[in-house]
Amino acid sequence: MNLILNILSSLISQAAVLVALMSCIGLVAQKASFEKVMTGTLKTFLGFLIMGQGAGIITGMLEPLNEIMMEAFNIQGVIPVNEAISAIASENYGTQMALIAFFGLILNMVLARITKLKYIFLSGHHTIFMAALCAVMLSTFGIPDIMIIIIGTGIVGLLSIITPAISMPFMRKITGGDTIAMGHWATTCYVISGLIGSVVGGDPKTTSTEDMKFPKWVSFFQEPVLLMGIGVFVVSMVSCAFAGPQFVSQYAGDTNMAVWAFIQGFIFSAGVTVILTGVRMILAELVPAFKGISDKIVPDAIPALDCPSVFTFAPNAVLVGFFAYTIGQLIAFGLFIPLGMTVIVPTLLHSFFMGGTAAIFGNATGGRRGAFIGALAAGILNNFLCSWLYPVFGSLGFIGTTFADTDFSIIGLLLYYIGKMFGLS
Amino acid sequence: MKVVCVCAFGLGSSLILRMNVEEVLKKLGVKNVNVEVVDIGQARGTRPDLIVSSHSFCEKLADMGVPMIEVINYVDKNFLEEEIKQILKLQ
Repeated sequence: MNLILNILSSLISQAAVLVALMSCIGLVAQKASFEKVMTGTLKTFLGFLIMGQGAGIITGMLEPLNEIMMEAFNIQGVIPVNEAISAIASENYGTQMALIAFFGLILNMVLARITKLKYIFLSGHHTIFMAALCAVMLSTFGIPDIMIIIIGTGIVGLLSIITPAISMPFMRKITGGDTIAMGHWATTCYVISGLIGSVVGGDPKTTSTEDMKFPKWVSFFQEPVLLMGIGVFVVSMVSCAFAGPQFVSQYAGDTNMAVWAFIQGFIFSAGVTVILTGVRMILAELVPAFKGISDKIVPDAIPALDCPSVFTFAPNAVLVGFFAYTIGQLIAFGLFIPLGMTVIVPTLLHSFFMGGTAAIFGNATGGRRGAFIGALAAGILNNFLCSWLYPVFGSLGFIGTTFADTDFSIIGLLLYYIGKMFGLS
Repeated sequence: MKVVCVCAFGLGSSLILRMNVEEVLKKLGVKNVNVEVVDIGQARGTRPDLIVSSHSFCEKLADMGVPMIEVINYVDKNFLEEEIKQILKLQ
């Protein structure tokens, strides 16, 4: 008997098993065949383990890079990547993360059913990231696990209906209807960009970004994993140059510094690719199950979708946003050192997703001027929020990376200050 | 028949497309179809009969010579249904 209990409790305490159980429940609820339930459950289990392995790759290559950056500039440079920090968090906070995500999705359905905010948040990866943020931040409060899960669930559930709701005035302008809401937790900066557009922008009808012409080569920027590799390579290269070959050789051995930096950049990409493979396997089972169930419970709900769902409505705005947001990141970068703040490394990945979306919101209210200024402001604001939040995570042992999107930083900061107010953290 | 839905990371918009494509195929009574989700980096490694994605990714994959459905509104199932009906008649 003891052996059985031991096996059971060992299994349940593994977050991977928990997540797999959620898939199992979702698949059974949808009356899937026995074979489908088995493969779906095992795939989810495998996906979670793969995600953890990917986290290992990232932490492995960030350690030497951080040492080199410290030696080179005496500062901690941070590369915010949601996938990386969440995968790392899943190592020690995995159980809470899994439970918060699961119950958060259920709460989303319940709230959509009983309130007027009928939105179903379908960006599962963001649900997982927000669960990771809540699990980590709430753990610092020293409250019992059950409280962590209840509060985390509340946060995820509420955000799942509130953020799509505040995006709707802009989404209606962008999509021309009520079919899609924004399900991406950088909604705050998108809304701010939209507001900036309406204040300082031009006439959206006559000065839209979509009437502009762009050359073909800009489409290279749509391979985000490659962009990350190049970005980290540039950061590594510059840091190595300043740290000096002697210092770098403790990590690179006989390998040429530049070649080593290039490899490091793409090891980062490799790690992210592995994490994505894992997350993809998890979501491939969970999201359809979630949607299937919520279709029955809240049939008239508006789906809140990942930000690329609006790219198709204003593809030129995405490019404008990419450049404007990058400029914003560079401005912020220049201000961190004089202000003594954590240095957030400009990350082109964000320029594409967050910058692109912010520009679409800005274009909807203020044409190309709204798109440009809105995205630029978003770049500055977002990196400042990341920089502000980083020390909290750094002190918990999460070195070198943090959450990227606006809403994560805001919730993280709110939780931190509320915790301090109550003397909890 | 193999249908591949493509997006940047293979877990956000492409997953939504997969769900809607599967629903439409079920409604049309089409059997023996495998609908997969990939990111743009992996798309070339697959051997699909049909690609469903947004314009920019379809453009990138145009040289694969595979029929494509270019989506603008990710939740417009009527559009998907019309496109799929057209493409399947040709096959």
